[in-house]
Amino acid sequence: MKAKALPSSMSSTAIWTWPTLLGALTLSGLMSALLGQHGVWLAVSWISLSMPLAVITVCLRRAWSRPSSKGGPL
Amino acid sequence: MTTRTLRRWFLVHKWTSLICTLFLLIVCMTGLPLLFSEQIWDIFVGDDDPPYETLPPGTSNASLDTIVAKAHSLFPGQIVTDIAPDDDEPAVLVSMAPSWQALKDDEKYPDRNSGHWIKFDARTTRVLKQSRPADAPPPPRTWTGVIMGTCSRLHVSLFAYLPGRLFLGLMGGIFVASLVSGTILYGRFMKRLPFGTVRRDRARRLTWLDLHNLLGVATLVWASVVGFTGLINELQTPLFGLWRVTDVRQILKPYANLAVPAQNHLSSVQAAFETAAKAAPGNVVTELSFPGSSFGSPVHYVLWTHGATPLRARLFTPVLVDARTGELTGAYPMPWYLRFLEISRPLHFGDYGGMPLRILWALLDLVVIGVLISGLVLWAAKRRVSADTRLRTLGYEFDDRTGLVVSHDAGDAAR
Repeated sequence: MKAKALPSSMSSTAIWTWPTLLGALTLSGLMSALLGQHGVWLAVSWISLSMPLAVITVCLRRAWSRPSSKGGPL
Repeated sequence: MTTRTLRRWFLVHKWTSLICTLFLLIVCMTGLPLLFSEQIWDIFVGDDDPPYETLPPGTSNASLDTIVAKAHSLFPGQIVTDIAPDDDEPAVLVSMAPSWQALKDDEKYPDRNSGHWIKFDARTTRVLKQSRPADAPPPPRTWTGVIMGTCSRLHVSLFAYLPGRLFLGLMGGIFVASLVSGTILYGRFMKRLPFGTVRRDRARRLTWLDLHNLLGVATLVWASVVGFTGLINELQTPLFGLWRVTDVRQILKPYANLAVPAQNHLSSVQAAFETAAKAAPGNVVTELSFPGSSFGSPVHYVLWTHGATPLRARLFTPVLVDARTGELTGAYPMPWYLRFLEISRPLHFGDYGGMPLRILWALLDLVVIGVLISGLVLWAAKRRVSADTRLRTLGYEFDDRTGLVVSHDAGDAAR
């Protein structure tokens, strides 16, 4: 997930891997609590729905932990 | 994708987002306190109901017929309109009114309400609480009440009743269109950026764009589900109306012109609950409306039942029991569009997975607010530049990373 310039454009698979994964986790989280309602299913739901938030946190921490050499305006 | 198609999607995203952003900000912010309304009421207002009597374990509930008779004796000459045993407390709520006609007349006067209720202990039939008499001074308004009421009305209808609901439903639809177009643009903009990149070493605008993309794509499915189910919820009035003028009217047609029998001539209420439980196996009977209500039949008890499992808990099946004879007339599962509405409710409210789910709902809501604000920033920063130029500018900016370039020469010249 490093922001170094890549030599060529990414394939659609590469672009959509993470979004698809997060979307699938969200859906399974939404459904498992609705269909299950028991201890385990609730826990599965909480964990799956936390994943998008966790991924956002990790990405933001990475971006802000690197020293910023901000360029000029566009 | 050609530049031309891309530009079209960009315009779709820009305009759909601009139209719905303000309203989405309103519903996202007012939704936050609503998520925790139970807790907020408990903390700031509390419950002033008297505690339940401690009875020996295994004490059975009184017959509902006894409770109805007691209600009649408390208010002689009045009618019982509805009886509802509480889900999780040993209480039975009985609604009464001077007459069906009085309730109907109330509709003409917004501040008149001739209906009232009595809460009985289900085991001892003792009166636990009664609604405030119509002529009593209104209770003092609490800050909690004012704030929660304002949030709720803004969230559901922008204080504009049915037109407000339909308008917000339309905004929900536009939001979904904005999500779809945003997803297509995301695929294009991320051509040479690894997932989750937030560039902070270049123009500030790119930081906002990357943030918008990251927050947006990570919450895409949640926002689509909550947005779409919100839209469905706003359609509940017309959907229930549709059911009433089609199926319900058909079912009740043979009885429509019969007179409402006097309440002392009606069959047993307790037996009607038992008949309904048998007619809708696996369902819980929660409420019984007396013959003569505006939505029911003049001669039937309408019993509301719902599924016992979490998924089916919001799927209602009304059961009609003839109040003259106590015979079952039928159980009527709701049509598919109302079933869909009922299933979409929990997915909008996030109230089906305990406190952790509510907290996750709130956090995801905050992220969506972040997407809306970053979108507004992106628009405000460049709104004087035409969409075309903007895309080309993005192209230059991206040219070594994303391949989104209109012309390489032009890109170099602009640098």
